[in-house]
Amino acid sequence: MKKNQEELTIAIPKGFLHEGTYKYLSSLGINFESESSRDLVFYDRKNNVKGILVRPTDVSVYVEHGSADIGVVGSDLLGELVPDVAKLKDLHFGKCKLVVAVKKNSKYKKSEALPANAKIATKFTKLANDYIHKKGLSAEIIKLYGSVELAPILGLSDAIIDLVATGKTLKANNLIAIETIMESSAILIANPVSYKLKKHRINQMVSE
Amino acid sequence: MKKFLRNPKGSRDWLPDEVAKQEFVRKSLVKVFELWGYQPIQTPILINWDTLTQSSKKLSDIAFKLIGQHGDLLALRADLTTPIARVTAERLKGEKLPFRFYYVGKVFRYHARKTTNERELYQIGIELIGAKEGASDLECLKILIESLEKLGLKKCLLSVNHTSFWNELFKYFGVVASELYRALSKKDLILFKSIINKSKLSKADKAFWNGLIKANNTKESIAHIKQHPKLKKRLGKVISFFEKINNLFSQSIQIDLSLTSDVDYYTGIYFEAITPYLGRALGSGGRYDQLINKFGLDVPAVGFSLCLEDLLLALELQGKKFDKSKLPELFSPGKDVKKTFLAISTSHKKNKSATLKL
Repeated sequence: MKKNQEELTIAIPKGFLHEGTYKYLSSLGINFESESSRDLVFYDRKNNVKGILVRPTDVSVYVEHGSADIGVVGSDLLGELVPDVAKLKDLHFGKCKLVVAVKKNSKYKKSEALPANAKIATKFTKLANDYIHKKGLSAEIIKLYGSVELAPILGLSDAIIDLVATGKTLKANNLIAIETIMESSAILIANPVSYKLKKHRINQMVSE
Repeated sequence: MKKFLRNPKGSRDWLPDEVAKQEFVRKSLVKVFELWGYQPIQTPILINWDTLTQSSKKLSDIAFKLIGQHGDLLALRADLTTPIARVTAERLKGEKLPFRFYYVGKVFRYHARKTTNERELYQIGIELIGAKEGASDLECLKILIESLEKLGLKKCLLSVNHTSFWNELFKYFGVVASELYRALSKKDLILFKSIINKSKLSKADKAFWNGLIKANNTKESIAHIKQHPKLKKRLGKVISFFEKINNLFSQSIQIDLSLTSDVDYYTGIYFEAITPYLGRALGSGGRYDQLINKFGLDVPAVGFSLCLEDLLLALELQGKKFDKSKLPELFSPGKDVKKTFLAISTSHKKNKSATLKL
């Protein structure tokens, strides 16, 4: 990449997609120098790129508002938050599935079997609601912010809708997936205005 | 503590200093519009629901609906182009064309935009009614550019496209072109590419579509259309129009073939203004030759509108400082108030603000 080009701000997610995002950026020649591991903003001065470290759910928020030009976010979160951003490229890492899961000994073996007053615990309320509408079910959605696997065990819900990468967590909690709602992977997104104004630069990242 | 009653979600107050900033934007633009011979027009905020549905489905979806005392369906205007189209058809039939109107007024929308809560926004813009495609479109673009310059907004860019470009693609490529257009309006380039890959398009056509979203500037965009031997002929008119625009405004306008239009009544050029200071467009516009006909008068028109709040926000993010309003000279009322009032009047006659010291 050329020097003296406009600064590009990239929103990088913590957690599941963090490492993959670093590898992807590194494959483009972008490497951040970080003074301390607690930095939230870091730079690649050679390429004039600024990285910001944010929670996965916040990546699309920074990009949508234009505070970051581009970012990496799971397609699960894009479906949940429906941000007004340009979806540029499927990066094919961070793969996981959004599934309906129940207790191993549950009498419900498919989502249609769930009773009309069923409770489903999930972090993804929009995707869960869209799914039960599509299936013609009338379940109640309970919003949780983490450890969703606990809900059926404690009797809070009949089923959960959650992400599964390896299936180990489900297994450890005696749960089984009965249906897959969507497959998710890391997506490169851009603010629509940034994409227009820095098109050449951003397109380089897409084609490489 | 007493609980304050708040404004409804998405509405705001403007305190004197803020109004002064708003006035700066308003006056700067009005100055440009008036120099170009545009005249102010005002229409009611309360409109008949039918007026809105007549014009645009997209607008009716986000408009505030009201039910009158006798069960009549009303709405708050969601744009100004629609009411102006209505009044033109209703009251100005037979008058000498063209009309040059400008407006400043509030519009009301549920979910005005996703990134902020506003439901009540000022729109400021122009409508040039009664002139066919051609020089009138150039006048409209010129005024938009001058408006942004007059405000002192730097690094603004206008993205321009034309409905004929896409209509020809729809005719030539058929269904796949409409699918690709929909993918672009969702800003989903992953879907865009997968449609191309799954389609039965020839290798050359696939390259044409892939290249369409890659063009970085006007020159590349025009060269891209000319590359396609069959489209080149069909698109001759659009190409020469694009070239004309480029010759006049190469600094401030970019032809963007991938630009889709958010409004469903455009029938010619359509465009949006962007700035690096804001993650969304400052405003947009285009030609709408069929809209006024829906209200009963067959005249072509072109126009644009800008969001006043966003213009102000972009100016502030760019670092513009606004003058504080000047304090008036103060006169103590004293025993002889009549004399004090006389002194105040003398100041007023010199066009100096003066008031009582209280």
